[in-house]
Amino acid sequence: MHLFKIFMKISLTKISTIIMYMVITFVMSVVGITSTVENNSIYVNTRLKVCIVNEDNSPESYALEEYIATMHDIENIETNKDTLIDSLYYQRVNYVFTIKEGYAEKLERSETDGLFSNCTVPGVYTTELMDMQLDNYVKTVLGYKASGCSLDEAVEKAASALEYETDIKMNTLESSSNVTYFNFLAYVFISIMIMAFSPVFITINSKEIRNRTFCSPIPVLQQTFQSMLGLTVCSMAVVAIFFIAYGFMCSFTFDRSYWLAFLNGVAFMLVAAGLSLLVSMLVKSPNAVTAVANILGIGMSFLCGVFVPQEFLGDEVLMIARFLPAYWYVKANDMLTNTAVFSINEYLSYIIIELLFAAVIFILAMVISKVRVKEKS
Amino acid sequence: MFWNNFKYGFLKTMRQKETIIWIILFPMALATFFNMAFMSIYDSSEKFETIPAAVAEMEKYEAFTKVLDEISNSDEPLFSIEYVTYEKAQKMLREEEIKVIFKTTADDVDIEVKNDGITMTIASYFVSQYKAQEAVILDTMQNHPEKLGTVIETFMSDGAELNENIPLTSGNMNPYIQYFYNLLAMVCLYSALTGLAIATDSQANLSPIGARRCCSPTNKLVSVTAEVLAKYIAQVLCISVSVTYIIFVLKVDMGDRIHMVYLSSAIGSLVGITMGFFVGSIGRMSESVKVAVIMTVSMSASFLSGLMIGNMKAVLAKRAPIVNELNPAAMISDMFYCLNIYTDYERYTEKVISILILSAVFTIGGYFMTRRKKYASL
Repeated sequence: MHLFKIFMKISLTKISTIIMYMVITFVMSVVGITSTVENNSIYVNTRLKVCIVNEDNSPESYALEEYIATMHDIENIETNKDTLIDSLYYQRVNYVFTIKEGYAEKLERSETDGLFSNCTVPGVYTTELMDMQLDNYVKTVLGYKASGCSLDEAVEKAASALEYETDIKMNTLESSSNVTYFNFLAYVFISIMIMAFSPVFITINSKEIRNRTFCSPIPVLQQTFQSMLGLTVCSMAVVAIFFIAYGFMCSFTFDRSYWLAFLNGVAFMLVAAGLSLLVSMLVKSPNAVTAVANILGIGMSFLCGVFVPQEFLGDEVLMIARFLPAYWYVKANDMLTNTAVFSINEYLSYIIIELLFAAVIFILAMVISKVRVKEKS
Repeated sequence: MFWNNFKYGFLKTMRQKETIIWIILFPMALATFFNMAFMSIYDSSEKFETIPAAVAEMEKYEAFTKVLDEISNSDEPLFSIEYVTYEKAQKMLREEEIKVIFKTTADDVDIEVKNDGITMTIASYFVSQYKAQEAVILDTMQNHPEKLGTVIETFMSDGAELNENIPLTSGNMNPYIQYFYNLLAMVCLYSALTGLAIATDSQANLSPIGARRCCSPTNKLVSVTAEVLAKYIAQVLCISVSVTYIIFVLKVDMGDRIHMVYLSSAIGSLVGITMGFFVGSIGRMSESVKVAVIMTVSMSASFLSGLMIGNMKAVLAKRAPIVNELNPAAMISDMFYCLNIYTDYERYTEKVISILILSAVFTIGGYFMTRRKKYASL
């Protein structure tokens, strides 16, 4: 197992690079996940971040504030123009509205004109939702008032009438897994494997070492096997580290979706390992390896829905993405949460597609390697 | 001697393959990916569009379906409705032809969706608000039937003047544009690789040209200044190619002040070059270690300013605002943001001043570390 040992020895000389990229990508994953989880929790529960400026300060306006607070999170931000623009742009708040002075008096007179003013991004879903809710709240209050109730009574009755909860059904697999973390691993695996292991292969395939290996009594098949074994051991170690780290984060609740994600992760790691081998065949300079790793990692991640959910990508983009392995990796992961309907057969078929990609990449790398050797000899 | 150093510094930079890869080809490739990924995302995820829905009538609930019909026939409908069997509706939901199923019984409605999120919420609140209005009508029918007409009239009013929208900016509020701001910020920081070459070429232990320069009689300040200027101009030319590609080929809307976008990239490049010069001047580490440090710093800074996850800067602004204040990538991306969103230059100028101060700190630090270096042996 000389070549296996050599692979591990050279990998060890790159250990600082491996650890550095692991730490960076791990920190990035964790920070990224924390921020995305926060974003998703708003999106999933659709509790908007609403800032209310109450100029009326009447019991009726407080009742409206309370009603809004049952559905959304109330944020207190400064209401100067710059802060408002920044907050809306970066979605620290989704909707800022003012209950204008004279709100209660206008309701008493059953007038609706100019009850509120809002600062928001026009024409987006969140704005439509809040507009609809405010409009309906006022209509319900005025409806009760028109039926003969006093304003106090109407406000009270409206709040309880609007409490009605609709029965909502979703076809999903019960899961405690964080799909954002697993999706992010596609970027992490490609980056780590290419940045850390392509240079190892470049060294092994350098003229002197290659010539030394060729004049040794080890058969070529055995040489290939040992190098691949080294790559497999290292890549599985990377997978293990990231999935064990996830175990720490989710307090070791290894449910079915965790193991399915692990299986998917292993399949995608084989793709990433294949890419590291292929890149080492095509690129020689370390700077170029970094550039290729970044282009492949970030590019594939954006096109295939690692950073941006697939449901938001255009049809043309998804059509292109189908020819990339990360698309199938993300598609399988999405099944583990409520973003797609779960089917075990479909899930396994996606993993098989990833394995086919890995096989094609490895075969391509082997063919290039053979052609190179023939050319040199 | 200044112009001699300047000329060869410029030519050397333009002949380096790395410069072309990192400053021109890499951002162009990424910008193309971004454009493909984000060209429709704002419209599909944020911008309101009529929600396609199906009604599966297990039992007739006429009052509700009548309201739905009215809504779907209005000028700007909330839902577009199709009446189908429950099985067909489920198939349509799976195949993403519709987003919501309203499943009606004689006096109730259930909702079925594929994804949770805003569409589900809108559908859910629509039903609960319908139920609230139904409750008002039932209440009126029981207690004051003579007022039923007035109540229904109240519900039918359009309430158009209820809520006035106050526009804040005429700039492009599409949050996905910030990926391009951050991409340009990353390119500016990658110019640190060019800056690193300035330090490498002036240190005798790192390059033969450094050794040659150390024993030449030219003042270090003159040769370093000429080199910085040459590499800076080369860098500005390269980044201008990327900016041109993003604005004119990909047609990304970065606001009306395009000339200022070019100027901002030039200012951003300054901090990149000087950062590279500073890192290159630290200690006696090998060039590859310094390259790794620069790549790590640039990539991490870009990540923290939102290159991979758009709302990262907002998260940091809430949890650790100091990071945004010190992060050069965030400063550069903020310059582009201010140009697009704000009509005045107040905040933009603040960002420019911060970048210039940071650049000055890097330059002075780098200069002090490279001057008067002596080598016992090489």
